[in-house]
Amino acid sequence: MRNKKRGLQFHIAISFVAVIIALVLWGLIRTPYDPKVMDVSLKLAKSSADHLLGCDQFGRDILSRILVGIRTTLMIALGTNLIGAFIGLLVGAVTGYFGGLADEVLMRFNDAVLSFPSILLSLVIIALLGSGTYQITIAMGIVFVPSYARIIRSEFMKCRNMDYVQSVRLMGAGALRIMFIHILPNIRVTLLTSLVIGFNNAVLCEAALSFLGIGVQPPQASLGLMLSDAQAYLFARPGYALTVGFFMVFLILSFALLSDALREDAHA
Amino acid sequence: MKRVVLLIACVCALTLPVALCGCGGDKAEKSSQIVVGIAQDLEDSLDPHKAVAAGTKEVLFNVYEGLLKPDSRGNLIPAVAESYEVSDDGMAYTFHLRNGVTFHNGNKVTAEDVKYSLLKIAGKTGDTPMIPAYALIDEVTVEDAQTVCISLSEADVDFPAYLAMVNAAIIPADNTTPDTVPIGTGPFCLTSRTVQDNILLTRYEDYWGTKAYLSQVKFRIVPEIDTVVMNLRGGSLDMYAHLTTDQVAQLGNDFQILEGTMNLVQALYLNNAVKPLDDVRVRQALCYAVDRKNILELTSEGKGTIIGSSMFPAFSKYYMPELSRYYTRDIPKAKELLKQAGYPDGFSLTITVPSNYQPHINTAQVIVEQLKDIGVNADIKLVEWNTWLSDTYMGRNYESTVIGVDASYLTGRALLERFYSKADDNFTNFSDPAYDALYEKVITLTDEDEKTDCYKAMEEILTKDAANVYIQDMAEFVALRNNYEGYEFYPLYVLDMSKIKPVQAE
Repeated sequence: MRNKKRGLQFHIAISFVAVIIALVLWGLIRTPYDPKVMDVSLKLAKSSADHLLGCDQFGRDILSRILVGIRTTLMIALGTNLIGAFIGLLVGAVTGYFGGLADEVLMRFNDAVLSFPSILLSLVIIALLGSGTYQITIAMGIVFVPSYARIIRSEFMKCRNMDYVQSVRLMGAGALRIMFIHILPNIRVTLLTSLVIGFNNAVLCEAALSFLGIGVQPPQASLGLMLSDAQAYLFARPGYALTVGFFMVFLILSFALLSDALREDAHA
Repeated sequence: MKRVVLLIACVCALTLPVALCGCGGDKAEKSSQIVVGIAQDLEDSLDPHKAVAAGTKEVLFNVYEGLLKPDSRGNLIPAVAESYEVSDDGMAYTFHLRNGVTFHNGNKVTAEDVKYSLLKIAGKTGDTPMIPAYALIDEVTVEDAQTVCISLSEADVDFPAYLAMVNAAIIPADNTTPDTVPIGTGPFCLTSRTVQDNILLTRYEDYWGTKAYLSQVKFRIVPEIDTVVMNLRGGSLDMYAHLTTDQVAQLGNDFQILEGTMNLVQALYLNNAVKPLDDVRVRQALCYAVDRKNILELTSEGKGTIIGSSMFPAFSKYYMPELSRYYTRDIPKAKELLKQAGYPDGFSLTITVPSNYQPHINTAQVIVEQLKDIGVNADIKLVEWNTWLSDTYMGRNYESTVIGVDASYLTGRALLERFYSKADDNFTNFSDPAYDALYEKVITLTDEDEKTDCYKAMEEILTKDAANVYIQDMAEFVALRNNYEGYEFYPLYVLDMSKIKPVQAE
């Protein structure tokens, strides 16, 4: 990438993401308290010097749980998108580059999967795999494949008859080489922005599944699970839900800004 | 369009015949109406003999009555029957019907109606009996217009208790469609029903007993438990019966909060057939490792009653409070027991919990923390309710589970039968020869005191053998808007609306 002036948005986005990474690292190194230890005397405690964000319904430190929870949520989002993007890339590249019968068959199958509401499809897969952190990562990953496949397919279709591809082809390069060494680097911006958007969708999807009680299993922490816990205390202790909600919004906003900035950056 | 017409026709078919019955559904003044939230619609059937769900029975309790009915202290009081006599061998019951009991359609209750109803519940007319005990009814004879004699195939001292269930309600013999047209003798008649929305009950003016105070009760279906608090605060509900401490804490000053117990045996139920839980020392170690008081404090602000066996305090006759103190938290002892059993470093345990019961999930989370202290590494596995029913309860494919078990009728057998090694519903696979012998003995006894002693001995075995890690009978709260009063708790799962009255405004 050439050296060019980046916009303000990019800087804001990067610093937000840096904050999130810092939080995750903090949670990895040490949390203020053990996120699973319960204490009756601190049940739903308000924020204090000892417990910056207060305590939850079991007297567990909310800050510690958020630090661990962000990590869980991010790992799930990352895993989901890696699975989705990898399989989606293979499907999209093959169908977009070759077209023809493979395209027809795979894309109709793709459409069929896409026509299920994503939550429903995840539910079906979870019903087969069982619930848990790894299971929802795999389930959501599968659900994310079709949208990646679609985006990548259209990019490959656009590129397959461009001059530079024609030239490489004339030089005798094989299909695989063209697809992954020549075309892939040229669609990285699209891929990157959709990865970042996919990240946000995965965060929301995890929240929804954990909310339904089939995602991350208690007593582990994830933002979605904490939000569903907090909801029962919406009137008694609104701070709990608001805090968790704030971190979720912050997470999503940062990645949304980043994806915007990346796109603008590419067009600039 | 066709579908809409069909739907309207269905609704009409459902409500019209009900509207024709002799209910005094006059224009009720605002203060004598109440809106009560319930969690689910009466999906099984309006026929009391086919009602399965506890949520259905608690509503139908207001509409139907049996020959006897339970009162709020757990006694059996006469209802459609005025009195009864038992033959010396316990094989024949003679019921004398009360004078002046009428059905909601205005007809007098006759001995023939009673005979019809009893034969119907006994499965003699094609239905399967709701509880096996009804199959004991061998013959029903009408002696005269006010007297009915029931002969049993086998003596059972608990027989009157079975007759007090909603499932044994007396319904008119000439009602050919009890599934959709509910006609009973209770203090309220069911005047209309909008599927998935509400059920409207109207006071029955010719009720034989004390008439209800409220002229109208509307049961509104609120399937989403999380919106209950908002509905109560917003004023669209006046009452809700099964609330948790957390929900109660969010209600304002508009409500009186009544505390009762759920009449459930909440426990960490253990599959006694899987390793290492088949070792009694391991099960005892788990009992010593769990701090019940701490669970109550963390999950319900200390509300609820700690129990030590498969019996809850509302069954005062059978309940043994001393068993709740049999195991107190003792980590060294628990570790010692694990060492003896060959697990000095603990083991790992999966706790399966249905995902729709937050109180059980909360209890399980605390247990996971507590078991860490003896090296037992527990994992929670949340499953859907239906999966829980089929795999865990019916399939017995689990290690441990947190759930509440209730009693469907007013005798100790309702709770203790399931630990008989050959019982169909023995989902814990508990097996103990002494227990089996006691169970086989108790069902043949006719003397009430001997029976009670027997049940108590069974409870003790469950505790000493650590069949399960018994925790509590959970506290439950009823929120009632301040302008009503008179709610009464029952040892069974019922909502008695006839006792509730509006507070007179000064």
